[in-house]
Amino acid sequence: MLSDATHTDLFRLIAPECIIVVTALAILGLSMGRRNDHAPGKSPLTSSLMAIAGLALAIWVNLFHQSQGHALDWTFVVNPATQMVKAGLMLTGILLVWLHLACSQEVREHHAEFHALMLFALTGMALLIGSNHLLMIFVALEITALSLYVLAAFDKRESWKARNALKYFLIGGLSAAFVLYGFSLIYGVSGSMSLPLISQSQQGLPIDPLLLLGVIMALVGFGFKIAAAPFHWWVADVYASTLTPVTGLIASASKIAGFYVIGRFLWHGFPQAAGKLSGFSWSQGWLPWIAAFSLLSMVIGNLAALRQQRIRRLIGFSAVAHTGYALLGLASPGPQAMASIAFYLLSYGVSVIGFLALLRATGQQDDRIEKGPLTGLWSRSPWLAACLMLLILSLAGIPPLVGFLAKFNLFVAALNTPGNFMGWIALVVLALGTSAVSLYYYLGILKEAFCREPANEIPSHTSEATHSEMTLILTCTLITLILGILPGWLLSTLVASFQQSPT
Amino acid sequence: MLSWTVYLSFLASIGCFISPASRPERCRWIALTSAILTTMMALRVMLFQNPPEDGAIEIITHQAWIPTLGIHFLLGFDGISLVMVLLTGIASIAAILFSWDIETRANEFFGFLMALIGGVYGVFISFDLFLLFVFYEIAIIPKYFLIAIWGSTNKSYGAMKLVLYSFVGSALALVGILAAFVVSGAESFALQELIQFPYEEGFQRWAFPVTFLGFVILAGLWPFHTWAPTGHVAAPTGTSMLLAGVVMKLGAYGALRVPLTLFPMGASIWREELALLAALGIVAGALVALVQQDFKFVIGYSSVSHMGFVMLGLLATTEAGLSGAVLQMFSHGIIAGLLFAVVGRMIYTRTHTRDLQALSQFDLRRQLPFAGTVFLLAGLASMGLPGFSGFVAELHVIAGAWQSYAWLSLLAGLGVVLGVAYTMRALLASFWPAPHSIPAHVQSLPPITLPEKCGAILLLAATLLVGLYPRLLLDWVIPCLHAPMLQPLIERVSTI
Repeated sequence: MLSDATHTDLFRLIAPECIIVVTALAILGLSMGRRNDHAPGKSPLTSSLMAIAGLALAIWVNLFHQSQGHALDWTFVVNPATQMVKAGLMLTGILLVWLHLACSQEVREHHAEFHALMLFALTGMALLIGSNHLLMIFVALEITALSLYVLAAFDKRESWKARNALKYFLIGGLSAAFVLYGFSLIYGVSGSMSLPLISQSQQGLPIDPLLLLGVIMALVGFGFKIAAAPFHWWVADVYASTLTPVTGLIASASKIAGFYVIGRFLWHGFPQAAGKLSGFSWSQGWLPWIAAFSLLSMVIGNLAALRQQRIRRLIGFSAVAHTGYALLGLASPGPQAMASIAFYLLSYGVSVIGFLALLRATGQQDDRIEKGPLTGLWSRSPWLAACLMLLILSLAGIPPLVGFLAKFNLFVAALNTPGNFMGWIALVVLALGTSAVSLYYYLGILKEAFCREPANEIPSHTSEATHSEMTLILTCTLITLILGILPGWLLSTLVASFQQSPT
Repeated sequence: MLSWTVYLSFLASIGCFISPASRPERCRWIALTSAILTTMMALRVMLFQNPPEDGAIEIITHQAWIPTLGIHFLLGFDGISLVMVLLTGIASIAAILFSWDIETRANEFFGFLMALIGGVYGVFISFDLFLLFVFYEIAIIPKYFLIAIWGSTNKSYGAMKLVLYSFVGSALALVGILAAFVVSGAESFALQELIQFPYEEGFQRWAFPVTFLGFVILAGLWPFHTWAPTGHVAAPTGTSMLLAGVVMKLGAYGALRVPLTLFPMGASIWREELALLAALGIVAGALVALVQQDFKFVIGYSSVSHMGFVMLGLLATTEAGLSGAVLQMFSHGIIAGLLFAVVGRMIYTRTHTRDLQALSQFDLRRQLPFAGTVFLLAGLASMGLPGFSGFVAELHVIAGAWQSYAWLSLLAGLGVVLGVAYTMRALLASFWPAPHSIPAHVQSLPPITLPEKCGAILLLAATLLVGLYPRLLLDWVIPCLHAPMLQPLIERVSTI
């Protein structure tokens, strides 16, 4: 039985999530009252502004008016680290809603539902970041996943898109089954669902193979969610067929939450079972598995992206590669490593949202258009071309843009892992080598935009980005540039917040 | 003061990018002004400041940049840096003068060019290895666009090959820097702190070759040089001048600053094998240059050969060898610029062919007497005739190599002889063809323009001045070799 005091505590701790849910419900309620809101061609302005306001309020509460602590036997935790990561998550949420507002001609109806679903997904992710208990993790994961399934199928104009959404749904369901099965094994062995208690129960004991099996199965399930190879088959299809904001949501926000929860799950629940990298001793711990997923993601993602002519699919495969780099940060539990993952995913999210917005602005609507609309961008719209160059180079990891520093941080984190220096250095060499591969396809995009004359058959209006789109793209580009040149404050804040958050 | 070379170049780059494309003359003047000002900064230090006797590094700017990783914005210079900064200044003025006629997308051209120059300056005056790497990468990307947009002959391929080679090289270099940082447990990336740590032999055994190869890929070490000729040929003239003139020096300079300074033990393990590659590069580059039909390829391969001297000098790890390497970097930077200018700009834009056979049709010596004189002088400088900078530099390198491995200096000597051969061949075929091959009616060519004359005279003056009075540079370079930073490298060799 829960006492009243516990309820109040719990409410205080999940206040930002409550704000988002209330905003979502308010958006839904408001649209129900006005019948013609569902009519095609209606502007999403009201819903978007409400969603942005709600998210901004949630960030404000989360950062400045939040009590830290835990509730329900450490089921739900709020500490400086979760606050920072949630703030980053909600900021990307704001950028995504803005993206939807900017390219609203894409979805022509049901704006209220669309916004509500985005907010529900964000709520699920925020809860995921705070959860410290297997059941809570699963519930939060499902809140996120169910919202994303619907969002993926939101565009019903073409059947192949519905087919890809179904694929996403089926694979998502499979991964949930993996996670659940893994959790049940863990519970069976350790007799506990709470991560700190699991860790305590295993103190001093040899690694139980069944427990490790449970961890690996859960990792496989998580691997689907964060698009790590070899669980990446859905990525290119889904990226190609979903609406632009949804692609952004899957590419940025869901990864931030997913990585944070994997880090917490592994390093708080099973620090003893980490194992060593030497010789890939699969049964000795989960670290070799992480290294293997990272290796596969980097290689497969980059090599597959090399062959893509269609740009949305290319982003999908490069997202797999980026997951591979980020996995390197899971090598050690220190605040530096955790902060490096958070920094990496935030910077990746901003760059990729900017890039998606830019594709949308140049008329890149779906999978079937190739690089065409970008051809000769420099002459049609020099400012957009400049933004494209900076965003792409950031994704490729070229200094002084943020993508480089973010990767560099991950490498330092991986190399600082105690023990087995040579193994990690081999992975870092591989990461750098595959970055060189990625430069080939990233430069291929820039070549289209800068080194070709614009084709005549493209109508001139396609390059005219609306003011809203232009502002969004410029904002993302500026963040990419400024965080690259002056990353000190954000990095220090992130590291400090992780240092203050041992749990 | 010297740090403004970097800031000013990047400001000029931004200025060029945002100025309207319809006003190319504005970008030219922005770029030229910035290049002249930065060169004056370097000259001022070199002429009016006494070189420090102990070869110490003079710190210009020291600011914390990324505190969580101990990265500093640390700019400074010593004699070697100063020589390289001066070279960059002179080469960039000349490159801009020889790009004067670029009309298409001139604002972007000069924007990319100034970004490249800013990155190069940055590498030469950074003493924090992270910062050095950042500038190193900044210098890579503009090259792609400069070649792929304004280039000729297979430009997409040449540009992509060059960028990928550079990027792979820089990735290897980054591995070495990262490994040194992590293994030493240093609190910062500053070079001065990283050299304090005694890296163990097993570590140096692999860290040195990885880092060294990473850097010298950009310096065109044989057999990793194939990007250089294709890239140089594909690039527009101003860019080839900068590529051969200063960008290849980035690799050699980085190799001297990072692996040779940090891992002297690794250097003594591997130097013989690597020096063999350098010497083979001298000969192979010269032999290939001897049979090229495309005039620009002759110069491209001669660059590979001359850069071999730089690396041989570095790997001799004696005082003479190292000072020769620095001199050769300067000298080749100037001479290669001059040769590319004559071939790519003075001849090619007028005749629209670079084929040595076809060039004999034009009676170039009578039509472009200025170009003929310049190429003759540049050719003599390139052969290493006394009086030009190339002579002093190659003499130092061969003497230094003789102390370390006599038989390799024989190969280098062979390279000098072959250098005479391919230069004479190109000279004869282009400007002094057999009289019967000149047709009676030659197509008339436009005269040499004023910017071209200015650029050529500037470069010729630089190579003559250093050739006649090498102490101008050596007074700055020699004390650096006695500085504590390079002592472990030089001492280790003399004890073997």
